[in-house]
Amino acid sequence: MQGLGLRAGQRDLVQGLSLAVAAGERWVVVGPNGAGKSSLLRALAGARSAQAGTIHIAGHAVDRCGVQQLAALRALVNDRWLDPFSATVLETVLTARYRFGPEGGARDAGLAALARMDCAGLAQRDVRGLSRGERQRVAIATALAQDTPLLLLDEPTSHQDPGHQAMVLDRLAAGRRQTVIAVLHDVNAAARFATHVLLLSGAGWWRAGPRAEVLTAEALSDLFATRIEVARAGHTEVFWVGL
Amino acid sequence: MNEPRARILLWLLAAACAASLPLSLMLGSVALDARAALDGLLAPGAATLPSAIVALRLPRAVTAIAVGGLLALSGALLQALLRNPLADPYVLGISGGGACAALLAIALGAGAFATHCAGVLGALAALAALFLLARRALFGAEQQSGESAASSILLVGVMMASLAAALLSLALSLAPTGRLRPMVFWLLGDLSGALDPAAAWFSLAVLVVCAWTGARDAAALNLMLRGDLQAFTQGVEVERVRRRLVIVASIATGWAVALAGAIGFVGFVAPHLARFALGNDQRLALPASVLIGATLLAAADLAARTVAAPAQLPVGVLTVMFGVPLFLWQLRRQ
Repeated sequence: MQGLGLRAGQRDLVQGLSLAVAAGERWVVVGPNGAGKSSLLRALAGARSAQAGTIHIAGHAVDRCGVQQLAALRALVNDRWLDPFSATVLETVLTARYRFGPEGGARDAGLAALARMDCAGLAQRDVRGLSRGERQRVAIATALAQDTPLLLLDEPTSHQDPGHQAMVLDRLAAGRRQTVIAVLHDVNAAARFATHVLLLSGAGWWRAGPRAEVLTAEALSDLFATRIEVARAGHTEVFWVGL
Repeated sequence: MNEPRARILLWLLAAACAASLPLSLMLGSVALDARAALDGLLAPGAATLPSAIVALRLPRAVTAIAVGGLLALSGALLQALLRNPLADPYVLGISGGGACAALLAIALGAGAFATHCAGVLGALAALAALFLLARRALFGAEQQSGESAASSILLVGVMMASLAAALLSLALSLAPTGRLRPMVFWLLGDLSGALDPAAAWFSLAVLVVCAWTGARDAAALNLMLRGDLQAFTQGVEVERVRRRLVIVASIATGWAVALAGAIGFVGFVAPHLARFALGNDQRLALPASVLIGATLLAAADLAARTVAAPAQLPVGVLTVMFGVPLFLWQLRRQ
């Protein structure tokens, strides 16, 4: 993306954001509430127009792409979902195959996506009867079933227990063909998952780069206006809010 | 719902719908046996009793099927577009808007065709007003909690229905006494005026075209049910599909209202039964709704003609009496 600017009402969320995401990288967007993380994801998905700048996915300008073409490039996991009528989990996941038209292998693709999110046993359940964590994993499985090179995730683990949080992130990381851009609030989960990090302040400034360079205690303290400290536990760093 | 079972159910529904036609020809204040009905059907214009009876009953039966199918289609589309299982062209005041416009056209001395067109335009205007007024609840913050969105749409719809009812009453109180009876017809919903075979067959064609147009977008509608953003990211041209389906729903409602007045709750009941039988896949639920609505209204009209024979009840009274308890039960369950 080049010189990207996003506004919400009178507020400048993002100014002059330029960065290149290479195929196979896993980016995590970190920032305070209302910093424009979700807006950024929607702009990347082409669902919201940017006030300035351009976004390209795999060489295609997002604002010039057709809806069908975009659907083949990226999938988005929203942080909310609607289930006004009852439907089975498998039916819900199979909505992602719309872009392929009628096809024979849809069912297998849907079941495989569900299995990746540890939901294989839920396939015939009613989505409306799922717990929030289960429903969220079904939403991620739906995006996986869309089978796109780029995956955009808005807080994909906000309803997951610690075990499933690790599982979801590890399995997303294991799909190396897929480029991932995820908004995460859990800094430690971000540290575990990301290859690259974008810090978004909501006040206009931003920092982006490889995880080790960007995700530091000082930068996070600035970002959240809170003292954040780091400790080493074996090979991993653990961030915690200082007292 | 597995594919073969769904297919069988759809065929059964189609058979039931088709079966309502000969039954409607045979039953009534004067019963015909199958042979007499067939004779009447094959010799239209012959100066025999069966021919005369069939000439009266056939357009009415075909109109019942067309109107029932159109209302059910409109209800099914509205329920999906508004993501609200309580939506119905009658409850939301769309039938009322169509009836208002049709009544106005009559008052201005318009002919039958112009009255039909006015009905369609009135329904379209009412639906446009509904979408405009409930826009924030529907598409504003994208995803309000389902409950508040549902209730605000219903509230707007109920207000519109009240306004339409008031306008209709106003027109009735200003109308000359001689025109009162045909005007009350619009309020009650009645098929006794459907005597023109050309209009009946044309209405059936309208139903087929509307249902076909709606069914083409059924797969996209499945995605739009789950949120506009979601559908967009999965490759649906949300705005375009919605505009097309809103127009289809308006034409369906307007045409049905123009033919038979404001018949209530068929558009609510039929999609419910369809979903109950076949699940929520719109590719199955839409055609099933149309077939069920057509069969239901044909059956209701048959009952309206025979229950108190030789007197005839307005069919709209029967559908509302059947529909309201189901509506309340569904409302309670939500």
